[in-house]
Amino acid sequence: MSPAVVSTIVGKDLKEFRADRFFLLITGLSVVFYPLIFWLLPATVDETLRVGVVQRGLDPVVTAVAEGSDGLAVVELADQTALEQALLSGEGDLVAGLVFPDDFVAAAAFGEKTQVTVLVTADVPPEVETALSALAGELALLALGEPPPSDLLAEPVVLGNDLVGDQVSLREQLRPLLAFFVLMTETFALATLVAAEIQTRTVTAVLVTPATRTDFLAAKGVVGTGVAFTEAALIMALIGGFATGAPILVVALLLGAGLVTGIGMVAGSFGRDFMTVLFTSILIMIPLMIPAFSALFPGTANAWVQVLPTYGFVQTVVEVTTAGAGWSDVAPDLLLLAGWTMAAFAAGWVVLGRRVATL
Amino acid sequence: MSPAVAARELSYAYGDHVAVDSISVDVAPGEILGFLGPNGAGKSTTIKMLTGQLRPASGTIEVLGMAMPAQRTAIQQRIGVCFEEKNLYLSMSAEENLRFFAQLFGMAGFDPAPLLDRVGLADRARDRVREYSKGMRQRLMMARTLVNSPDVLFLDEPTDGLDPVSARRIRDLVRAEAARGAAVLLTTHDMMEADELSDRVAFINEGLILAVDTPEQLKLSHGSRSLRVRTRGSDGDVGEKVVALDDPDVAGAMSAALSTGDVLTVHSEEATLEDIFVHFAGRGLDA
Amino acid sequence: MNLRQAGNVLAKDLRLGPRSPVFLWVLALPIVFTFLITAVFGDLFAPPARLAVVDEGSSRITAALQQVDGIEVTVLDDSDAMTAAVEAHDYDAGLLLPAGTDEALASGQQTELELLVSGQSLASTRLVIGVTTLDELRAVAGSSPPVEVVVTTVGDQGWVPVEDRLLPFIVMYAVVIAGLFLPASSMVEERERRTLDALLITPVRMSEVLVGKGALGVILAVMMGWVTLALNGAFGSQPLAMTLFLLLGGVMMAELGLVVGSWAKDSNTLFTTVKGGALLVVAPVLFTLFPGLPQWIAQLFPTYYFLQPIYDMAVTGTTFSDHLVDLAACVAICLALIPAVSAMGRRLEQQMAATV
Repeated sequence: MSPAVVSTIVGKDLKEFRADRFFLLITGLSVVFYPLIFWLLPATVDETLRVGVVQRGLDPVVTAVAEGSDGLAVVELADQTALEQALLSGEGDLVAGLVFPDDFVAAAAFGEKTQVTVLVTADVPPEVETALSALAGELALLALGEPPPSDLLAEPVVLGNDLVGDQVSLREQLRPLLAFFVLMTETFALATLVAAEIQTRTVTAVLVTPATRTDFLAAKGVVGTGVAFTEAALIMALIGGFATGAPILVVALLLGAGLVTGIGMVAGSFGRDFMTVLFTSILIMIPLMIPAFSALFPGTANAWVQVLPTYGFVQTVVEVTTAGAGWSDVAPDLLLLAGWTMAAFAAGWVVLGRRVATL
Repeated sequence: MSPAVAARELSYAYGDHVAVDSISVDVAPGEILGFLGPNGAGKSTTIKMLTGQLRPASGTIEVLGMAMPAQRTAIQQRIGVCFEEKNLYLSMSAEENLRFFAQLFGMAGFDPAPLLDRVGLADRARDRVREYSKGMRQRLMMARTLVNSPDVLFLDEPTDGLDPVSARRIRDLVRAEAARGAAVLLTTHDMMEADELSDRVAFINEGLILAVDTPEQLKLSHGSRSLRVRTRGSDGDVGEKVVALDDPDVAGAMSAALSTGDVLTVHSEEATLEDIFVHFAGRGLDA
Repeated sequence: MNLRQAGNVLAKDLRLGPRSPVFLWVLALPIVFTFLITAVFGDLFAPPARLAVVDEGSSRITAALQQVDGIEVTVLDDSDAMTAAVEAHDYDAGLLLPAGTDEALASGQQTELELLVSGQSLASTRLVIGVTTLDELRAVAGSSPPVEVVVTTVGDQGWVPVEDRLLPFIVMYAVVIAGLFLPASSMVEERERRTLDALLITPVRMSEVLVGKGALGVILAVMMGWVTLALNGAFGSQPLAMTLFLLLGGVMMAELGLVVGSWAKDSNTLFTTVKGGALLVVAPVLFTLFPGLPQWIAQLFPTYYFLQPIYDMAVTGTTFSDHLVDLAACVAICLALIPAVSAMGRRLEQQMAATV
């Protein structure tokens, strides 16, 4: 392998990238829109139910319940009309309200049942509606001095780091997905470049010079990895991804870029024209996107998701950017990613190499 | 008999560049007219005007007695065009390609088998064109050109890049069509093909027709005949002398040539069409 | 205009269709998106509370909790597994009900129960699960509050869940990919391969080629629109009216596709143009997704006039007569695009003839 020849081919490939309007547009749009989407999303998670309460004589109970739960904020209002107006206008971000009749305490003392109104807006989920109905009953019982049958609400056992007040926002969860989309775009770019070289037989013209097949493949590897990594790193920087664990993320991005480069080489080997390459690339990428989407949902990914090639990349980015994980925490994920990257790169090398040899 | 194709004073320009400059050409039924000229001479532009793809800036065209472009659709019903570029539907088989074009000509119940057999593609009729070699694609192009049994054939470089066997096959087809009575306008820059196939040859260069005549007459009128004599001298060196047969003292020149040593070979030569073209145009076909 | 010739072009493209990746995407993508969006995005914006229960005594509490709307209850066998799963945030909370819990509650004893909460769960989710569980414990204990709770909804009764608001996106995708992209890519491919030259040298005219390719786009747009609406259970009570708007939308998109396809000189340019100009087509969908945005802006985009009526009839229950203005606008846009299609077709024909 000749470094001079490889760098010559790399230079030519970069020129072709720059001359390609489609990829310039997509790259430009990515650099603008991905950070825009990121920064437009809310930075915090609203985990409090703001409930308006109309009541007479229940202050101690209401205060005790509200202070005992981080998930409940109570706003006292004068009457039902004021509560309804607040709900309709969005004042105070109230999601619901409880209206106790003025004579509730007295009636309860005589054992009489009264009507408590739970006011909700149309977008309140059903479980919140159920919970507020239960809360109304619970407040009533507490007002009568009846303790709850269990302390489970007052003394829950929190497992793992308690993130109340410091939840991972949607925008932070989106980071791996955005980084992945960038890598995916560059995969397609490389695949198109490779397919074009095969279809027009320019690769044949190159290989009758001192350039060898190894030089050609190495150049594609360098270009693919370099371009993908550069853009992904740029986007990550623009979305504040390097605030913690930058060295780990750089390694993850490099490995991810290598992974998609191998895939691009395979996709390009089979592509006949622009459309075929596009749809072959998308077909390959859809299952690879699953780990990134899975990261948006709580809990452990299914076992089959964990074996997908991009899982290691996504997990590393998630752990580092949201939980401040260190090298030892993400080592298994990085190793998995490294393994898949080598496999994809080897596959790309072999498949493209064979394709070129049989032209 | 009135010509199948009659073009008068045709002109066309691409912007400031005059591609065809007031040319006139006729092709009779059953005749093969070779249109010979280098790249950029105006051959393709002329064909495009004659087939209705381009509207001439000036001049008149009649094909089979109908005016182009006024009766374009009726004319296109009866002509066949073989493009230089192999513009076949690659995802379709040979059969499907031919059936589709037959439908466009309104030919109900068209059977592609005989035509495919004629071009030697019967056993690959159901394979997708994408899998065809260059020669096979060109033969299919010819087959498509003949789908509607055209009365006029416009063939643009029909044997360009083909191996000798495939090229001969195409030429045989062209002759057969002419024998059937079709008028054939054949563009090429292969002077040997033009010489072999054409009843008449028209030289075109820089948008102008330089000469139109049979190949034989062009050579006789504008070429020169000669004898090439190779001898070995007493010193063992091989030498060559060319004796112009039109030289007034041809006998003396012959005698002098033959006496330079032991005669090895004597060949008579006549002008090639390329020589004639150079004579007219001042440049070669590939210059 | 010879419709038979247009039909020949249509038949050829239909035959070639399954051999083309674009065609396959037209058929597959809307279905894939339907499942993806309703499965993924519905839960993303409104994830249910997840509770794991280890019930060692077949308590009535478990059955009662499973009936609660909006809380996903999973019964596990092993408390250690539940603890690990809650810590991993596979569940928001875990509840261990030892054997005899129901009896203990019924006898009025203060029962020691542990609610394990995932550190990653939202405070509001913890509250919901906790209060609801407590309510069920009270019910088993026979303790009923001295109140009758009446739930009243205030404000806009027509609030639409997000997965329903995504319907225009899915319909748009089906109609646009089939109606716009298919004819456009077909035109570009014929141009790139120069098979368009071969077509135009026969009695077929460019107008017939355009009509044939446009017709395929329209047919598939309507068909995939139907499939999308059927998969989403969104035909409502106005299927004919919705079909009419799908048809007009398909025609509009096909015309746009033919304009773009006649203009783009290669696939690369086509894709760049479609990607760059996608906002013009997609914009109305954003206004449906985010009703807080000023809705009048959506009316500036042509796709509004078939997407909005379909959405309104499917989700909010309007009728055909409520959308006569939209119908008129659709027809007007379709008619206005005809000269553009014709002009671009003529331009393409001249360009093809002028290039070697």
